[in-house]
Amino acid sequence: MDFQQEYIEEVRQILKDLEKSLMQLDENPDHADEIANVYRYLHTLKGSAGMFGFHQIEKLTHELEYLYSDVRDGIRAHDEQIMDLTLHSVDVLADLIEGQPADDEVEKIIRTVLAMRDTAASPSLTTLASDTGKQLPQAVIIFFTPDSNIFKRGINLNAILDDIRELGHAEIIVHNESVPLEKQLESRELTSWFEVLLVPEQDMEEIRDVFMFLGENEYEILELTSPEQFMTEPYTRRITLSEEQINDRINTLKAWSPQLFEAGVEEIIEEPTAGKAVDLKANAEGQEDEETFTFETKKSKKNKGNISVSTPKLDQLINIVSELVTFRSELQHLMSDNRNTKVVEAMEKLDFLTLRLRDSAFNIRLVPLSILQVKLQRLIRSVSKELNKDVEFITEGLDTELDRSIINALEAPLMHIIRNAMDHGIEQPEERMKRNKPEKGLLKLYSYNSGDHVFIQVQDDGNGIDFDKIREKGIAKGLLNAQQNYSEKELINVMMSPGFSTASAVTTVSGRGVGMDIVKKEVNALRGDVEISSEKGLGTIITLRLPLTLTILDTLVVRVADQKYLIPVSEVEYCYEEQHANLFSKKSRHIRYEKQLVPFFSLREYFEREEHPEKETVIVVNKNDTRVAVVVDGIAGQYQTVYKPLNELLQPVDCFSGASILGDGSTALILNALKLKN
Amino acid sequence: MNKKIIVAEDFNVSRKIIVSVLTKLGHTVMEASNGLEAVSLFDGRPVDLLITDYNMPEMNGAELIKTVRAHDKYAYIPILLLTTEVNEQKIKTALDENITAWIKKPFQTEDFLKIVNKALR
Repeated sequence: MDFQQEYIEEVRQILKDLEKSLMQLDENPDHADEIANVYRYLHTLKGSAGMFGFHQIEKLTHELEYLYSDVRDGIRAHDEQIMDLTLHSVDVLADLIEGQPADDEVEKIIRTVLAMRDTAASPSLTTLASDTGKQLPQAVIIFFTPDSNIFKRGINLNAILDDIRELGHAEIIVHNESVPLEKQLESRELTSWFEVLLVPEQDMEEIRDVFMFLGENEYEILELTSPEQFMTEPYTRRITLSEEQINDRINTLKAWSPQLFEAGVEEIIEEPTAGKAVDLKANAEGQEDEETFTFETKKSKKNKGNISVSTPKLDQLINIVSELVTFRSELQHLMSDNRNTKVVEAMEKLDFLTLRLRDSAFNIRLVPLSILQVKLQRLIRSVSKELNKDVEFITEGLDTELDRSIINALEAPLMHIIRNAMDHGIEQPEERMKRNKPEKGLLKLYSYNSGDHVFIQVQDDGNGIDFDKIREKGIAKGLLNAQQNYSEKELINVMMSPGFSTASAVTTVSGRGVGMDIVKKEVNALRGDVEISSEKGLGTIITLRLPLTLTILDTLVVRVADQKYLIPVSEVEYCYEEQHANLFSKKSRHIRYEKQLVPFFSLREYFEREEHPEKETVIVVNKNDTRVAVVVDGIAGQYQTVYKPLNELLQPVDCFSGASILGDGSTALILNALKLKN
Repeated sequence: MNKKIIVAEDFNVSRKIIVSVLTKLGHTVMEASNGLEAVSLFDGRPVDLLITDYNMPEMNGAELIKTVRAHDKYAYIPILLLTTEVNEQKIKTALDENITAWIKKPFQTEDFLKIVNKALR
């Protein structure tokens, strides 16, 4: 087991969660729960980074954690600057965990944080903080009474005393020092005990941590809220102080914390049982809160009930399920003559169960589109800053599920579409005002299921596509004829053809040489389509149509000699029978279909089969508006197949896109008809 | 800071986890799968920390700690005891064996490291 790999996986997840929380905060900056979440994520990152050698991550999260603890305690407001900084840090952290050096960036961020912390919070905010009741205790007394066997237990007393000094302003008063402390340490025979006056800079948790190895009766931490406490329990149990000694102590503490005993007066009146009882109660309450909190987070995680499974394992399951489905058809075939009602009933049950099993197994691969949301939100945020265009982003139906691999492949095209919409579609605010549009642009992303396809639409209320400009550019690029009139649909097609980009200058936002042609290509590769509709001055809608999953395919089974091949039904446009002589009598290998000449290819010829039946079947295949006809012996039926990728040996044979197992147990290849053309 | 740590634990997976975590921190770690093996690792050279399980074959944690503490050189080294025991009284008895702290199994690596780092101070 590779712990480091597991750790990296975990960090990736935490970074995702962190990003999500930040986007929530961006919408609602005062959301206390989210601030707490961000703090927790940073804390978790910091805690585990060091032990796996990610020291830069540790350093960076340490500084950010400081910032967020201030935000959490109300000392600092979660402003735009912190937001930008944290988002940037998330990116840097992601780089670091992938092993990319980013030392400069880390230093830069740390410097910024340090500068921010130097410009300490304004006094008004500090008073605000005291209202939240979460601030550090003003003064603390610690009785540290280690057992005499402390050295025998392997505890380093000096280290603990050092730790105490690091908690803030501290004075350690040594009692019972008949033998000098140094001598006691040397001979490892402790007789002294310690009284600590502390104005802490760390919270109670950190203070308690110092005494982690000590027993309950070896230390007592007491929050000091009134001078009376020097004269009551538990002080008096340990030592009786003279008035002078008390004044000394008060003066020492006041030197570090001038407002001591002034702010807390009210509290003492409210809670007359001052001292230990109050302290313990407060501690107990604090701990209880913390516990329920973690419990709740655990519970909510449980509700979600996610486990991550490695893809090979999943693929294996899918494979077995598809084989079972295939075997079921085979069995059905064998049993078809059986008239025994009990057997028929059992077969039906098996039928039902295998299909259900298949559906659930394929469902596992489906994930909601919303996993892209945070990325898109961040893109919109940064682009809108860059271009100075304020945009309202509305999403709908992002719980629509798609195959994981499709979602991954969709990320880049969607980002490009959104970038385009914001750069070219949505106008500058002044321009929008002139046009009687709301100053804020509108960007809508919605998704829905229809049949075995998923539709994703991106809509903007911008300027719409400038068809004149596209025409001009198309002519300039030699893609269009200046004399001809083109419909909007044709112009859109040109826009999506390779090498076309309308941005008159290459702006940083879009037009990085990747145009709509790439979007189209990527979506097509997923067996999907892109459709664009646009109204000048009103906006544009880009629709992506995608198959629900890449692994189930409706296919037409065709016969060629003694072999069967599969053609995706979605690509089949038309089928008809034709005499062999009619097809091959002409010189040109084209058929006439819908007033077009369509090239045809004979599979028998392709596989170098000499003989041929007299009557053959022509199948017109249409894929991405390109038509090709395939000549086969005949059609053997329609079959819902489970797509299996070809192994490496067969991959160079690009006229086959994959393979599948048929009902009778034989394998068949899935034809990629367009490639026959080449 | 590189420290020398001995880890005695008969359960391989736990031991490997602990060792890998500590090694990544840059410490020199020596492993033993029972108390006797662990004793043989205390060869007179300095050791900065002993992390030991309670229930082990050959020689259990308590005996191991007694043996180690009896050695002049190791009388004061920090010792962390791993235990699945939830019985307070038993733990208290274990504390009398002069250990620095006990770590309840299973533990979170984060908490574990906090304790280890503290013990190494």
